[in-house]
Amino acid sequence: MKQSKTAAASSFFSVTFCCLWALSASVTLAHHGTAVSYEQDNWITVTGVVTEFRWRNPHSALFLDVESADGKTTNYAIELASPVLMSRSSGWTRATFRPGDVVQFRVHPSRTGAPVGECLFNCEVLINGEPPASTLDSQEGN
Amino acid sequence: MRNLKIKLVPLLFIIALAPAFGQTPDLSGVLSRNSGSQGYPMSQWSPETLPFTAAGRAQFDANIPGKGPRQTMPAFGNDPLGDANPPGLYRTLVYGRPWEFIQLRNKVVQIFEWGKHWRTIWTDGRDVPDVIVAGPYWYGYSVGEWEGDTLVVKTVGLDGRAWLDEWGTPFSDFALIEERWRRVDDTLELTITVNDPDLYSEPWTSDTKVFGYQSPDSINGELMEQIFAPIDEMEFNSRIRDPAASGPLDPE
Repeated sequence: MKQSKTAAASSFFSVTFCCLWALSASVTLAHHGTAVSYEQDNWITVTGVVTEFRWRNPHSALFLDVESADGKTTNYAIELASPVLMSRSSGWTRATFRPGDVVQFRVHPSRTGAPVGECLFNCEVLINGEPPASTLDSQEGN
Repeated sequence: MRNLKIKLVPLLFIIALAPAFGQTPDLSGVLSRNSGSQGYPMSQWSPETLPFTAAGRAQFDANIPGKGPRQTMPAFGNDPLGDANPPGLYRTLVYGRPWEFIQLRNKVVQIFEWGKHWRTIWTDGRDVPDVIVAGPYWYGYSVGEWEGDTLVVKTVGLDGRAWLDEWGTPFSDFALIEERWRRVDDTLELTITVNDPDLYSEPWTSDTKVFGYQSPDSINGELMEQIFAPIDEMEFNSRIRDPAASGPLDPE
């Protein structure tokens, strides 16, 4: 998918070392055990344009086209929790992310350097500069 | 007044003994718990070293989980869950997702959100069968009886390909697992005792797991559907699980 350049999508894997993050309770709830594949004590911020939002079991996933400083584009995958858990914990729905949205997402990066990151709960996300809408705020279903 | 007190004594006596006269606690409701047990050496069910036989130890070592003290990247493990197989009864119980007890006259039905599976605990007085005709079952065959305020459940006919927990604790098709369920106000306590001579040299008992009854208005108060379909599992594995464990993609 071809996306327009924006200021928000100008860096490739822009890295922000915010703080050390100990293994959180979310690790115990990752039933497929994939947490071990990511650096649980490290965070990076990934900025890109949504190409796909997979709202499925066992884990949802968000795919972003991320443009590097040299103009190369890589599709970066972000592992999320299951739809049930995301709806309960964050109030997200299958409509939370749409292709073309510009997203900033704080994730645990893959231990191998692969373009895959993970955030299961309490994710710090901006969609087009704003926090995601939540059904928990409105107490309405999707 | 003295005559009234005399009349009340038998009534109070009867009320105190009501459970013995067939009134059993009602376990019905939606329950949930935190997974916990992060500090245990081997199994999420017990803080003790498990009494493996040689075969049990071999099976334990052969199970390669993605969680716990022996965790490895799931792409390199052999967790049956990774191929969309059912979690099985005891893994589901220790995992911590909400489930529901529906207590009826002759049975207790247990419905699990995780995988949208269920099982029946027969409380109609039947014996534990010697032969499970169509088994083994991922969720076993369960028979329960009340001992005072405790529902004692015996489960047989289990499919030993499942794991007892997320950490790969094994059991065999020939295990008999006893569960003891006891309601304490708004909580439900569970212990299990694993009788499995093929894999364990002696029966071992878990610590007490405590489940909390969920209010219908709470976040876990209503079961939702969570089914692991192979079609989704395969896509997840190929697009997320395996790439996360592999080297960087070749940008060329």
